[in-house]
Amino acid sequence: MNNRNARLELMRRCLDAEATNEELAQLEELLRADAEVRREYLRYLNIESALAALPDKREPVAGPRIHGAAPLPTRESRWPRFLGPAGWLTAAAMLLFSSVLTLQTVNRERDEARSQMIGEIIARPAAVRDRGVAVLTRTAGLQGAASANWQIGGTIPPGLMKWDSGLLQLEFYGGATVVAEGPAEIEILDESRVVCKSGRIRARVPEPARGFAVVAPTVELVDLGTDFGLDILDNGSVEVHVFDGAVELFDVESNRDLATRRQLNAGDAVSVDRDGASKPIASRNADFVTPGRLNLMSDVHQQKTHRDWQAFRDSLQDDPRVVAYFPFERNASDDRVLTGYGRNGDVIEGAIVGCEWTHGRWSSKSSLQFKRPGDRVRITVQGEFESLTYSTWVRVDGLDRMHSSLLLTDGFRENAPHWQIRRDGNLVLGVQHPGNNAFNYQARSIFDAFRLGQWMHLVTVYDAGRSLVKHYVNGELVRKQRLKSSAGGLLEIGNATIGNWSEPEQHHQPGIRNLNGCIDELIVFGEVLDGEEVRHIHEVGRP
Amino acid sequence: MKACTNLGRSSLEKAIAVTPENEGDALIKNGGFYWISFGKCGNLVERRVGGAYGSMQKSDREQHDQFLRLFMEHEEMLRLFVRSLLFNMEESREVMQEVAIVLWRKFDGSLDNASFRRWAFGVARMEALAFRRDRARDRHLFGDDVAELLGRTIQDESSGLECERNALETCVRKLRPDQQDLLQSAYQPGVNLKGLAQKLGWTSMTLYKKLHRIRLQLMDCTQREMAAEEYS
Repeated sequence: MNNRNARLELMRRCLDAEATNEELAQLEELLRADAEVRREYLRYLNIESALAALPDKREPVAGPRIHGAAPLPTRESRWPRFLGPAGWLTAAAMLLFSSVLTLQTVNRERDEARSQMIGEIIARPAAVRDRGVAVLTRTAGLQGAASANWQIGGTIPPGLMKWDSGLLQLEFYGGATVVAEGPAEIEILDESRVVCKSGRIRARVPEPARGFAVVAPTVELVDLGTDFGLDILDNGSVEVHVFDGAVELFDVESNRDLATRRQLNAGDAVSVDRDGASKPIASRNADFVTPGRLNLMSDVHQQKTHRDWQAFRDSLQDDPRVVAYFPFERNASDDRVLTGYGRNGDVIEGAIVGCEWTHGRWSSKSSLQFKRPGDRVRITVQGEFESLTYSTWVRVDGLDRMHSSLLLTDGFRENAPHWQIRRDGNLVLGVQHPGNNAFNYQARSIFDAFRLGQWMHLVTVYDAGRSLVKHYVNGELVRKQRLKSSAGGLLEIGNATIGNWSEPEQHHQPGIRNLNGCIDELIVFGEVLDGEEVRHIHEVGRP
Repeated sequence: MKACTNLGRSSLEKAIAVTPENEGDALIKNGGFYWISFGKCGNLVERRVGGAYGSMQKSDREQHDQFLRLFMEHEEMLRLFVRSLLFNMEESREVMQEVAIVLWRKFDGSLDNASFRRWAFGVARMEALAFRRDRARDRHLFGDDVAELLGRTIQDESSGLECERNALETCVRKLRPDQQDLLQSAYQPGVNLKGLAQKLGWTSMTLYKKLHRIRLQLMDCTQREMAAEEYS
């Protein structure tokens, strides 16, 4: 290939992960044959990598010269990953490998083993940008399409929230607490401004949050440190009730023109109709749900969902596919034993080491907290399985270690899987396939800073029949991957550890893999569960 | 929650301009080995991963300083080398972390600059190889001989490549404003190019090609800049 442009285009394709293996081989051949091409390739790469290292001089978002570009995503990798079946180990590579080892005069065996585990080395955590302006803290009886994705503890970025019925509580970064009742349509502008298009809200605005503003269809409200309610009626008029403190009202779209300013004090209530005309009305405090009352309501709601889950729990004890089921309910007579159920409803006893009991998904249910390096639960699961399905409800509070264990078999034996989360937030099923072929089946970036501290449902399916590994998060399939060609034989769990790793192997660095968080349910099925069943477990267990 | 501490600045550390790009890089101070990273509040934090605290002998400290000097001197070229074998920037970054750790653990203070460089390139090659064997098995890999040739070319051409990097900023300033903006967006850490293309209303291919043309323009420009330097 003598044409420079074609050559550079080939290099680009390789860098942009578009090249086929044939093209990669073609580039290799060119590099091998011609010193000038090597220099060209390195110069092209040099420019490319130096560009990435250039200091930021402008705003991080594409400016107006790029046609209305929205803020850029920051979470995903810039480059598509190469994934797929295994199959690379040439004699030449082995030769290089051993010669380098000799050069370094290090223990070859150890490093070989270590280098096989390099696939487990952790990407450094990226700088986290918080685009959120509020935290969703409580809900009761939420209905509506989008609301299914709202998680308690979730960070809410600016944008529209719309739901059909039910209540939710938002705590804005600015300090205001808002309880909103549906049907409602609320657009959050920033940490101290919302546009309320429909619905009924009650806001408690303490001193530091003063200035919190609500724009309604007929009026703009600016808080002066207070407790107020705002209700948008079906006829388009807006009611404002001040329960404590004072608020200012301005005509909508007047840009807070002082000529339109009115002040309402504690006990005042007005109705502002479509034309902007206002008249005093009777205050109706009780119609606006306070944070305290919402707390009671969500407790009632929780008790109901907890009861529904208990029915599910009981049904699992008769499910012949269950090989180990730990509902994580505290045993009052011996709280250092984690009671579980195996095949045919046999009782399995897990040994709790260090962990403390705490609240679970519902305040009326328990879960185990894993915090300290020694915290763990030791279990034994008998049997050999063609396929396995793991399911857990977990609240990850931090990813402090290279790996955080969900369920790890002792050591890393052949066909004894490791189910864990990497520090970069990837959910991983690691399997030592026959012939010393370790492989990590990963779903990338399941966790990030904004998913910590929330209950999540994770499922991983090892499906030997279809030769697949599937990962599900909160009932949704997030990754499907083919089994490696070296996969084969029956899986086993045997002696294993929940939330930690026992008998770590020397070459795994660093060995400690304790979970920082809580587990509230763990199920291992000796068979494949399909997507519908996974969704059901999520639905019935959702707090 | 981890406490955030501001990084002290000794004369050695001043040499590192901390940007999101070199976050995660190696740093040695007070006898400890640290990763540079950004804290919750966006400030700089340092995480100790090895080495002893304060109570170090003077000779040990000298050894650390020596390692840091050598590592920094060759870091960019090692990065380039790893990238030339892996293509993928994120993967290269992961491998470079490992390279830095291995180099630090096995550093021998008696090495001179040239021996350190040769050794470091060897370690980088091994780590890139091991990474590919584990993580990118289905991708065609450059043979050992080509890896060797690329490593040697980088070492031979390092001064030219470094001049080119230095000229780059001037050349970026000479680009059209829309090209500059595009670079700024596309080379943000963590940007997903496919997502960016979508936001701009382009196909991925259009974006890739535009970036490619800019790179070629910059290659020509840096070459001219370097030539001008030589004759001035």
